[in-house]
Amino acid sequence: MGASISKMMAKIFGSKEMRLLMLGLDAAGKTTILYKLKLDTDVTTIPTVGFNVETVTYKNTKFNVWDVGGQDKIRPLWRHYFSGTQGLIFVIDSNDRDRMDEAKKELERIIQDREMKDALLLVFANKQDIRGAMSPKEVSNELELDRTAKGHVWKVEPSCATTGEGIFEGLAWLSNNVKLPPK
Amino acid sequence: MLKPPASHRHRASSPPAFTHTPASPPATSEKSPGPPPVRPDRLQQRHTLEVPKLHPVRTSVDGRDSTDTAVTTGRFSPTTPSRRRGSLQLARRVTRSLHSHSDMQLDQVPQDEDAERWAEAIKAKRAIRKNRVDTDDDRVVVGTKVDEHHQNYVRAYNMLTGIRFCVSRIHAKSDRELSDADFLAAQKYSFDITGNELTPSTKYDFKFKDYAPWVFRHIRTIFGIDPAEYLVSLTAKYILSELGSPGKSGSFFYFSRDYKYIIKTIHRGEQKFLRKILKEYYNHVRLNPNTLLSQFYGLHRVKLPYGKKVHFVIMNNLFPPHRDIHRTFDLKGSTIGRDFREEDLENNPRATLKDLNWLRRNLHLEFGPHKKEIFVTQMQRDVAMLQRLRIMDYSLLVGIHDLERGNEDNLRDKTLQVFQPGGDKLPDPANCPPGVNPGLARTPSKLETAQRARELRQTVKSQRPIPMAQTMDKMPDESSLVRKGFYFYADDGGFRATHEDNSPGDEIYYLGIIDCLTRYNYVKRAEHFWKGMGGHESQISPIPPDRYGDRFIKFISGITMSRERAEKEVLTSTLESAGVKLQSGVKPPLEPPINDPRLGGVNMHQLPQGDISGSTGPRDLDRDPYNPPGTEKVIEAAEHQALKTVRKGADESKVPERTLTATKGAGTEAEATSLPVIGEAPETASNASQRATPEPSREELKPVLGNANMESQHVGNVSPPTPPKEDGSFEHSRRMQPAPPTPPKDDNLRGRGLDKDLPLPPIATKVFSASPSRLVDGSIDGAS
Repeated sequence: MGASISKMMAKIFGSKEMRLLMLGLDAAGKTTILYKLKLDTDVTTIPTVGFNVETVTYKNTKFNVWDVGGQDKIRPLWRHYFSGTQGLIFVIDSNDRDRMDEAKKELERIIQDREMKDALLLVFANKQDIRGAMSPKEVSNELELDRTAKGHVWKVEPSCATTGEGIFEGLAWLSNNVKLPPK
Repeated sequence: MLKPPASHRHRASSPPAFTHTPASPPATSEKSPGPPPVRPDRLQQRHTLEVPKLHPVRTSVDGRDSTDTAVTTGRFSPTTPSRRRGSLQLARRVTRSLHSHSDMQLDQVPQDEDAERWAEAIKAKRAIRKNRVDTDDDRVVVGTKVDEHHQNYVRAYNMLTGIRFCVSRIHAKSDRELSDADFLAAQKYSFDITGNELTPSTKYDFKFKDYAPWVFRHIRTIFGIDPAEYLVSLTAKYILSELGSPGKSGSFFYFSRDYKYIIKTIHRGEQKFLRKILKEYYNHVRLNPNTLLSQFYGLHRVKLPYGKKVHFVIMNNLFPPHRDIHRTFDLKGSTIGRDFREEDLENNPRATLKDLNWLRRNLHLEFGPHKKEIFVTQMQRDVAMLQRLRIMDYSLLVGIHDLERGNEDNLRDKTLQVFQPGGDKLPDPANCPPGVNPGLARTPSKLETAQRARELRQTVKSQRPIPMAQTMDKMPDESSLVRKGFYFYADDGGFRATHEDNSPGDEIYYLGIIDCLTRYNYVKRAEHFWKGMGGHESQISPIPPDRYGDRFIKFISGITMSRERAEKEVLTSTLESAGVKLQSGVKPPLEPPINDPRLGGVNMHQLPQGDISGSTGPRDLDRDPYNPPGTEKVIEAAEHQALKTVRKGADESKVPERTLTATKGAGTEAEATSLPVIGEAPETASNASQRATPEPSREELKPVLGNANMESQHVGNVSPPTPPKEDGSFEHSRRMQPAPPTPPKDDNLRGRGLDKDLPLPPIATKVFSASPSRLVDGSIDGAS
């Protein structure tokens, strides 16, 4: 009985909607992730100037994903996409150790913006298929997430955009956590 | 999150609960007058007291049902806390009202609000300052503080948001070839405060239309505009500077904060026309990346709710951010009405001057043969296209930067106003619109969305947009944005003057053909007819496109010559005309009638290759090999007009020395063909002193050319040209010769050259105050 009610509730209320913003340094794999989500294929991408936006439905949640180009010239435009964002997906190239510091600074700047204060933070430690990639633990240490993402609910998810590994897990985590009230 | 409405509804349900308890009547009766003023307060308090965990449940239930459920929840949930809370508030309210009754007047409350607002404003200001420190790139390149132009900055905000969105969107796609459909394409977007699947959330509601995005993307590529840089320049910050007032056409102009792009609002007709000619324009630009025409980077439309549709284009700013422009001219090749009153110049020294001002100042686009050839050729190509499209009324915008003066005058900072739509991430966290909170788990219904949007709008409205607090940084002195490979913009963003031997000169010209969206339509035809009635049909601005273009080219190429050439021409004409004068005594009509510019072929592509290097002889210099035939006539006609205005100007401004006048040649010649003979009564002193000069050497003869910054007085303050020694008395009459550079020029020059060191012995002024024609006669008599 209870189960059927919950099913009905799911039917009525099931279509959750979530607005996600996907950022990260250039060549981290954001656009590849987006189209892996959308089309489930590994597309060849060009460096994004501007943005791509796609809506993906996964587990009764409609994700409205904004993938905004990460070249350092256009990073000043990022903040114009903050408003209304419920979850931030920050994509890291796990092999690009040299730019972890840069990534940390950018992430800090985003996540500490007032308009992002309630957003969930999902970090994709991308390109795990390459040997010598940093582990999720290393990534979170490098990013000092305990400090930078203080006050946010966050998670580091190992991923590989080309195979799709880890990506849907990340989305699932987001949709599960989105109901949590802001701290 | 819908917090406030939820709690509100809940509270509305509580009074019935109170009525059941017998103890409450006095309290409730007192409460009834209370609520209205205090309600907002209470809401906020409630906010802070709220236990967050309860929320999702309550909102979801609320969303589904109405007050019924609220009542039931009240009954089922532990009633005590909520009731206690209610009573608490009640008590507080009562005391407050008692308080205000007892000793305070009613205005106490507004005062409080005032203080609050002040506090908020101060907090906001601090937040700005903090922001500025945090992100170093928050500074703006251009400008000074500005008052609130509310209407305009909402529009500016919307324009920029729309541009950012559209350009970002088109550039995320991989490039492809254009198809015919791309030229007609137009895409509409609707922006609002909640955002949707396609558009980000924006502060104001508006609709935006993007025309031919693919075509403009290609055009930007042709012009070497880096999309990232374009986006960031225009839209990274909501900062634009507005040109003081709308132009003559009623268009508004905005500059991007780095001063690199112009946003110009245009009329619907112009928008339609641009779309119509877009393909031609695109093809032209593709074949002529060095075109002098305005570069259109985008065409959009913005519409505010209940507002007008506003079309606008984004163009290149011809003028550089890092160089002062000392003088600006807008040249059309027509002379009727093409005058900026010199008297007004004092009030508005930065005004854009026109053809007549140019001629009176005896200016030239000082390009040596090499640059002139390229310049004129390109101009001919561009104008040919405009003629084909039946466009007219365009002009050549010329900005002159004098390298010797450099940037000392800080002109740029004074001419621009900057504004920034305020409220950009400034409101206190407490005011943070609830809509941006995450956690609304369910897709909101339309009604809810609408309500949320309404609330948000309310919040935005209540936050007064904040104008920029203080003067921002100065304009840069160095250019970071010189565009390589674009010939006319290669020298420090402009086109540098060259000498006759093609070595660089002292000025940089920033030039381009602007306002090229006017068709020769019925309105212009009527204007042509009307203005043509004045008799100077060849000199009015609205004439059919073919002739307009011809005249334009000839005029511009006629005024394009290196300094040396200009000097030489002045000189030779002086000598020559003097010589001729001696023989004939009457001006020989060397040229056929000049009133129809159509006579000259315009778009000649093979230019005569003359040897221009040598100073072969005066005759050779008369004709610049790069001028299209007929150029002299156009220039002469224009200068004729200029002279007339000089005469008029002299009357108006009562400058005593300025007695430059024109008389008709031998008098019997047809008016149309004759050039004015100038009888001049220059400043007597210098005139006399000059006569006293026994043997003027060639060096002394060297004229000084006009200068863009020359005061208008100099025009009048002329001294006579230095004549060859034996015919000092002919100096006036020799002017009858129609020589390409006309009389006022050399007067002007010489005056400047000689004024410096020559003493000014007094001499009979009377002679020269006589009427011009008599003067000429008199001087001839004297000679013979």
